[in-house]
Amino acid sequence: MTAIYKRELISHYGTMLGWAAGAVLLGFEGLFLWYVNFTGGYAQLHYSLSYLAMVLLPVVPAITMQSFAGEKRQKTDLLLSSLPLSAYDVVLGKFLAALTVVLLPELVMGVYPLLLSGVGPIPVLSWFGGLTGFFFLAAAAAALGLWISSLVENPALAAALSLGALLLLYFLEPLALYLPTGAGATLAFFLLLGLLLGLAAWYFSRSRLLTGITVILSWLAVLLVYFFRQEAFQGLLPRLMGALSPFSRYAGSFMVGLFDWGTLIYDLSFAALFLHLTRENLEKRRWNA
Amino acid sequence: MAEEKGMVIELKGITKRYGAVTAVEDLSFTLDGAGVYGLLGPNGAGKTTTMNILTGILAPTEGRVLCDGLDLLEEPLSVKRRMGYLPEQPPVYPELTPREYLSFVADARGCDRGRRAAVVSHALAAAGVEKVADRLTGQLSKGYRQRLGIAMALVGDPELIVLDEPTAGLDPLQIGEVRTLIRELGEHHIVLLSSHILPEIRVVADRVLILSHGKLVADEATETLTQRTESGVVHLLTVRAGERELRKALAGLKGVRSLRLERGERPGTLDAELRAKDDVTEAVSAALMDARIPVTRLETRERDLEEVFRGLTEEENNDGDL
Repeated sequence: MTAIYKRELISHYGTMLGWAAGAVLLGFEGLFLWYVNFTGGYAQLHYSLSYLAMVLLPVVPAITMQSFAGEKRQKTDLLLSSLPLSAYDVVLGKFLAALTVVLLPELVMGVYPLLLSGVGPIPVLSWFGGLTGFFFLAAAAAALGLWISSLVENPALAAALSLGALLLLYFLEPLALYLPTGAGATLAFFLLLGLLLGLAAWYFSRSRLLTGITVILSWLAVLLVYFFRQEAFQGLLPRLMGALSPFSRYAGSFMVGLFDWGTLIYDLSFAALFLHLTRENLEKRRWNA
Repeated sequence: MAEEKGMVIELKGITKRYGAVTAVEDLSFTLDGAGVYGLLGPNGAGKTTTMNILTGILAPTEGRVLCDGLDLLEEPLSVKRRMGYLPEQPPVYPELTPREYLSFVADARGCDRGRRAAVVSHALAAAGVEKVADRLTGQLSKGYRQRLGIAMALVGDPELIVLDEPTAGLDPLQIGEVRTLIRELGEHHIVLLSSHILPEIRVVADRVLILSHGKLVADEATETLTQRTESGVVHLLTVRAGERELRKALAGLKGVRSLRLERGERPGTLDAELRAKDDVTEAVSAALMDARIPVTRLETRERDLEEVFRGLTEEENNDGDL
């Protein structure tokens, strides 16, 4: 894994991409600090990070687009597959290198309270909490970007798809406001979700029995809740969408000065899921390529 | 064939299907001990698929690859540590220098930091890329990139070196150098080399494996194969004569292996395909003149690779007749 990590870092910083990503994050953070804290007169530096989350939307796809799509395009994926590296080594090496590109400007941001201490008292803990939350948010976004990069062969397409997916996650909560809030609509959504779970079971197992059991059990669970706790379904869909988006979770916790372990664990789980799916993609290519 | 390294690679009943298409079918062979093994076949014969399976890049649909008894699918990392593979297109990173690139490969192959610089220098020197070691790979010529790919396969001195068309894109001088390098490597390593160029395999390989339509149609010492295929000159004639008359005229020629006759396009003509050990153009002309047989066409050509393959495939299908 360290071999991949080091090679990725050389690529990120050798092509200026890493420097450009760092400059963009630092430049925009400076701009937001000036706008929110200096012009707005707030002492809470972490407010500015809520705007910086938006900058991740183009920055993360720029960092991750080459990760697998670029390897496939220049045929270096064959080298990686022939080296004594597991698929997890490759995926984690690339993931950690992408995170390093975000971490380095964050380390610079870490000294801001020191630089600004002359201006007045600054709530330091919420600033570092905000930076931690931002790092985990970037981790979730990077894992999604890596997964998308592993699906396609064209890095530009990977970037466009990642940007689209992150935009969707970013606006998931406001978009969910347009969803119906009635219990019936929520029931229909969960039944559909049960069907999708069944499709996933079929995709991974090719077993009709397992697919059938998955669909029937998930439908049974949904119907039981619907008939015995119907009120729980009321307005659940918009709430759920908000809870699913790492951006919404981040805005609802770290941006209001809360250090929310639940959000960190959610981001880690989100990242772990997509890293695992990326690994599955690499393994699948070995069998089907 | 030298026997300094005792690695044994066995492919047992390998089949690879892509949907309805079968790329290789029931392929079995053994690479036993140091030497250069040539994998020969026309484009689309399944050479690259075979090499990708052998190096663990692809999993076979059926069958197993064993390295000293270890199953490649069950112990991929320990087996891959002993292999170096140059795919058809050298897998290089344009943003890295050759030295950085080879250092990455050495690191990935488990070479410790203290030894890495020496291992990289050795590979750079062996493949002749020292001069450009610190230039960006993206700025290198195709030939240098190909040589860098060869250097990559040599990093860490793996026991099995797999080279897919290693001389593609090289100039004649470089081709000669690479062939010499391959022969040298074959003294201490198992080198599996693929090519669709028969002379190339003849020059460097100790043993030749021939693939045709995903099947192994020959597996024999290069010398034996050379004897079977080298003396191949084909004469194509069109004459105005009867079949018996022509056979009688050519009957006394030395070195003729076969004569196949077909009715010609024009009335009263015959098309003949005469296979001989050596070029017998002059003898054929003289015999036809002596017999006063008018000749409207006399072409001579070497047996090309396709013909060799066709011959071997036909032999495979009709081995009861051999």
